[in-house]
Amino acid sequence: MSLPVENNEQNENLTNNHNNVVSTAHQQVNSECMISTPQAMSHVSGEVMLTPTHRTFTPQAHSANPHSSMTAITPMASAVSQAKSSIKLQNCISTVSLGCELKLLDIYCRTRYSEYTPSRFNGVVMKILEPRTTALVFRSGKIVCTGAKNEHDAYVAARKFARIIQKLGYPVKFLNFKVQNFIGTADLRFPLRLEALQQAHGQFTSYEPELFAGLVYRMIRPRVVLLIFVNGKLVITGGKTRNEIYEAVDIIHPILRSFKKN
Amino acid sequence: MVSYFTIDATGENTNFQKEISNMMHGFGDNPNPNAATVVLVEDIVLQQLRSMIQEALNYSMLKGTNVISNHEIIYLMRKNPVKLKRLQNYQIKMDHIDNTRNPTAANPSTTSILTGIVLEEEKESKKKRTHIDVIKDLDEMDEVSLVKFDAIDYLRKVRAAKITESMSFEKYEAYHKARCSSFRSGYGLSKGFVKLESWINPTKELKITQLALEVLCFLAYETVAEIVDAVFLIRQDSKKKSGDPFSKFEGGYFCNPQSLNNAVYIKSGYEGVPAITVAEVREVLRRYFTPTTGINGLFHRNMSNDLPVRFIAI
Repeated sequence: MSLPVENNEQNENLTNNHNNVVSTAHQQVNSECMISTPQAMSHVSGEVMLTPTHRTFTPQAHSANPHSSMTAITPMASAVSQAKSSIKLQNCISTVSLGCELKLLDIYCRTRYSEYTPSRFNGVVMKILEPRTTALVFRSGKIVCTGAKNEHDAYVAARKFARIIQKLGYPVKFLNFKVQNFIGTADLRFPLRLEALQQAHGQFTSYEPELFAGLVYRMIRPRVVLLIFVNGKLVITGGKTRNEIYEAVDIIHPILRSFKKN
Repeated sequence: MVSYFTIDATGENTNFQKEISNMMHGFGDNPNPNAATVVLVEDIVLQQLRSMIQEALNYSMLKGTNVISNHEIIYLMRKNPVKLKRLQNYQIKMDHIDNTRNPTAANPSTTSILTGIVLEEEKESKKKRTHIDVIKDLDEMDEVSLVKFDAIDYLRKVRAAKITESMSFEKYEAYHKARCSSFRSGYGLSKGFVKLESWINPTKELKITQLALEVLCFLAYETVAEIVDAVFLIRQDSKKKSGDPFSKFEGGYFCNPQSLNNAVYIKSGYEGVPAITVAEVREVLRRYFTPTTGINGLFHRNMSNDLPVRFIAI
């Protein structure tokens, strides 16, 4: 910040002697700009134009504005790609096997942020903050890790849980890490008529508003389940990979567009 | 509102009038159902449910328990395979929704993985629904599996689709909300049966299991649906002129001539549907409880039973 100011001062010192029109480098640039555009010259220079009696004067462009000849080509986002860009992964469920028997009560007693209620659920529920995930640890040494936002987070979290248990003195391995389920949401930005969709795709859908407000659409390929709501929002679950979710939205979008409610 | 069904004054504090009026809207009544009709329908449903419980209690007494479970309620339905089939579908759908919504046991594949991981005994959760098992148990002739197509359910869906065809989005949103109402309390999946229980069993003198309440909830909803369906049939009849041989081809006055081909007895123009009146509901009941009516449509199946049918939903 300080440098340009100094420069200005130096320039001023240099140019002061010559004349006061071209005083600073900054101003110099400005004035050059003014001179170079012809219409700016035409009405700024004439004092008459600026008097109140000539207010009706409208500056006429002598040459067309170069910008007007340019057609604005904004990248056209197709509806499908818009819907695809609205996909947000919400949850990524993964499993891993530690390859050894675990003593759940022992783990529960020696770790923080863990819960163990054998009467309700036969597993320790463990939480970590970074990445914010929850793990269900079972006696067989299998871990189900939920709450991660993407596959990388899921992997890191599973490693961390394994490490925590390793530190408790179990001979832990890290076997068969697998992402079992991706849950994503998407927004189509147009309302839908679910009744019509149900009529047309009866074999894939189940829509019982009395039980659940959304329509359940079971897609065969990719094998995912979509929950479709009246306001055009989707929940996609059951995908094994991230691609399956994108693929599902790709397939369902043209279908849903024909059931748009207007 | 004075009705024929003012036997009980115990359940006054809880009522389902708002829900029932929404349901009637959802089944194709006017967006603002007649208030007196709603009260009457509510009375009917309550009386029906209470007498079902009475019957069920008799059966559970025979078994030697005081608890009414879903077995007894489903036993009442044993003569109607179509309804059993619908209940079966109901459980399948509920289970499926539960699975999809529950992230850890999300889809069938994950549940199978989980069952692999989770040791055998811990998968036997208490809240598992057993209606299908009970149905299999009661259905000795395997009639339920023979029911391939539920025509009434299908027609209801077609009707809903027809109604929504020309609706504006605002109206459709309201309609969708109305269709979402049920006899469960609360919204979302954790819907409980607290309100339903305090409605049908206000003094808590009977022990009714959650599963039994779920079936009762299904039956209560069915009762409203059957009444509204039957009102539409009555409207169709009421338009017929005696002595005119062609009048039966005209359909009801709310009937769109084109939609006759699809046998859907409602006009797409929806707005024109007059609210269901008390007199129409009474006419429905009269036909239900008179054993010897004509052999047409909805009322015919009641004749085939020897005993007079007492439950609209069954």
